[in-house]
Amino acid sequence: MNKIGEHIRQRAAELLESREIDAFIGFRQGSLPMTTQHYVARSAAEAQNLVWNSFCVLNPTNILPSLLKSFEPPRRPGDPLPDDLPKVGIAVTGCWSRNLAIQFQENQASRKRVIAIGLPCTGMSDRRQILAQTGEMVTEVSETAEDLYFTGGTVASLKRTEILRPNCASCVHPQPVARIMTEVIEGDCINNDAAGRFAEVEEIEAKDSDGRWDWFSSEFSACIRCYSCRNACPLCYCPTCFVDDAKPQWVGKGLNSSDTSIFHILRAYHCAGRCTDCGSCEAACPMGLRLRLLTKKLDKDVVDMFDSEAGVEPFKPLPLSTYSQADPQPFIVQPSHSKGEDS
Amino acid sequence: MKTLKLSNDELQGWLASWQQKHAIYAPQLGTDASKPQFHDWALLDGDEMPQLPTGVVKNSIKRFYLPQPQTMGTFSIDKRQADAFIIKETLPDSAKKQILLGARPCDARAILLKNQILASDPYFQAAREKNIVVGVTCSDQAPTCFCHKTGASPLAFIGMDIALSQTDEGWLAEIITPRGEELAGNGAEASEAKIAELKEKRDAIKQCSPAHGFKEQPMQEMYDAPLWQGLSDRCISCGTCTFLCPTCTCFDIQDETSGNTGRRIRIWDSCMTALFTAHTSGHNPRGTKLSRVRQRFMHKLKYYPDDYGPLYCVGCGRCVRDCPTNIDIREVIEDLQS
Amino acid sequence: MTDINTEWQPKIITFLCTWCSYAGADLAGVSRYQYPPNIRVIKVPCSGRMSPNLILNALKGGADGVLVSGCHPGDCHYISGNYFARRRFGLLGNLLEFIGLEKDRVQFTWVSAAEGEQFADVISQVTESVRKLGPATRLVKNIPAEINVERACANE
Repeated sequence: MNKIGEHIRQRAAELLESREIDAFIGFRQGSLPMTTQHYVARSAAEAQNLVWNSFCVLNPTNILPSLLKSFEPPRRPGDPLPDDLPKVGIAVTGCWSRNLAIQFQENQASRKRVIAIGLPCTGMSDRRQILAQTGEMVTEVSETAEDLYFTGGTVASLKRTEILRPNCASCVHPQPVARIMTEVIEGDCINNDAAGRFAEVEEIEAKDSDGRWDWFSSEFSACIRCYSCRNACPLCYCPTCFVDDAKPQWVGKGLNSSDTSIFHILRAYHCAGRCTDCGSCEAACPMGLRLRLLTKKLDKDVVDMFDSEAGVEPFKPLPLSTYSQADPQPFIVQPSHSKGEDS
Repeated sequence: MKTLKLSNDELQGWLASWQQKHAIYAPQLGTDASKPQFHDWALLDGDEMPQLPTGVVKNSIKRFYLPQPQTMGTFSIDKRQADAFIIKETLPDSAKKQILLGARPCDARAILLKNQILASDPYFQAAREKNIVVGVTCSDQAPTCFCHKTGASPLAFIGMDIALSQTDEGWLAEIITPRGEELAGNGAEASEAKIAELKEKRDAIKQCSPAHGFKEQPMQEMYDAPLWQGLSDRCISCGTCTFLCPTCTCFDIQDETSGNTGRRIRIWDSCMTALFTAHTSGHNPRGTKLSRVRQRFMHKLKYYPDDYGPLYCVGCGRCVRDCPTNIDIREVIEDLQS
Repeated sequence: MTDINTEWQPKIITFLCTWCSYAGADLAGVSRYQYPPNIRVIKVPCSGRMSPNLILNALKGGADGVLVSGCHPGDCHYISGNYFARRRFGLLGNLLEFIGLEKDRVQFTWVSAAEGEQFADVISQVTESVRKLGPATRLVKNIPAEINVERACANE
């Protein structure tokens, strides 16, 4: 991890120094142990603040589109962009690189203006899970490839494999998407068994309808509607979100269970076929809701029904913006006399 | 004010007698093991004094004073009715008391600070009438706690009706208000030595708590400070800080209907969201993220202190602990001071 | 037959595409096919216009069932609207089932402008399946009649 951090600082400094890029998106050490901050380095000196550790959990591609836009000159709608706009560098792991692929496809970021450095990823650690074991009083954390060491907590060290974030523990694409990377740093990646990748979802699917409803309503009852899940997500960029619409008001704004449920269903649904399971929403949620279970379920269905995975093939149309005549339709109600003919 | 010495059993006796008459809310650990474990407010079952975590629990006691949503009035949208579209105001029933057991000094103080702004708000005043605060002072501070830097103290009792302090043998109960006196049960008066010991601890903390503000700093200078750019670069505009904050008071009013009935509700608003202070015309005086991030800190550190005196931050550290991008108000205060 | 005056009757919101299913419903009426009077028809330009917002809003407002119907695949007036819709419906239906909504609350079908009889048949099937489920409770928004500072802790 230290090697990768060193590499990022060095490359970012070189790129900034040579003016190939005007800004580099990465992480900086946070004010508390086990926290990091999004950081935009704008000079070689600032690049020395960049860090890489197992608590870089908030997806950095989230701030890429707005940063790219900030370099664009003011212009009227329809006016073309100048060709020689400044470039931005960003260091991305597997899931983030797939977000990048989607942003390129959805025209949220221009591929010409992004220098992407691919990172090997061994998975990120779950701060809340660690705090539950060590207590809140941890003052310092250090890490090696296998272990984390704590000062001040009730536990001295933990194995990294034991406190992986659930999305990292079920990740099967830790390698950055090579076709859209400018350069790739080689290194070990986490190696998960693809067979169990949807185990969390299957566990819930196995319940009956009442059981699933009990799970859903209790899981999301703690939501305080701060929308950090939405705002931490690189896929959410609508100028006006459906929750902010007033006429019609799709979702009420108070803490009503029906409104909260519908918000979460729609938020997840808007990510269908686009979510790369980066875990940014869960990392951001102050209440620790397992928001990923909904998006992961959609992931699973998209794989099953349309044989597509978000961003893995960066130039293939996204599953919901295309179709096939042979798409499955077992859910269609058939008139009774034609039953059995059509399958 | 009198101070009583209670054993654990005696306190349990108090709780048992309160349970007969009132609903008691207290911080409790979630029971579902599959979910992330943290303490949050829940209705207390039984008379067992709950184990409190170091520092504050997830949500502040704000939700008991400014419910989310607060129904302000109801109306009918049935045009055949004579009173269609006429809002009938509904005030909360403040006669039925409830007890907030285990509120921390920061939370209790936050309600008093809020009261400056909401002094003539009938809903808030009814809620103050309704809620009896039985606080527990902090013997330890969590890494995110910084109440002693905001002019408060982890051992303070202001804003509470009864303040409980844990000792080696049990509890010291300070009965602060007449309401607290009504509520308090029997107990032996604490010895002079015990009271002196508590006072000594309290004084020790106060000495190292500079109640600094930004009164002398020119407002324009703070407004134009360079740090807002860096903060807004990484702020993701979620409402975590404002919703978890015990002092944040801004609200939005909405009407909603179902079938032929409707209600007017007051809900929390957050200066972090783009719709905050947006005008119908489309103009927004705080149109950029930078100006909204600045608004939160300026309100807490400058505007409120200029009007009322103390900082509008009680140092509970909830925003520090749970901000997704680790925007730390302690760093902001330090940066502004230097 | 159920007694319409005494027994609980489900309310079913149907979203019909204007080119096929709405015309199909029209044909069912003109041809005097009998079907249960439990549906409320909303005409949409194309099944591809169906936003999940509309379906969830119907459920929130207390609909006991929702049926969306468009042209048969290949027959879309806009060439491919229903193909896109089919992908979305598949995912939405599964997600709603996943969160514990009863399976038959939200249903999808294709009815062409020539299928009046089939329309009546589908409506009978859907109505019966929703009737079996009973009144909707999940995702329905009830505005509490009284004020609830008492419940201020637990959310509504």
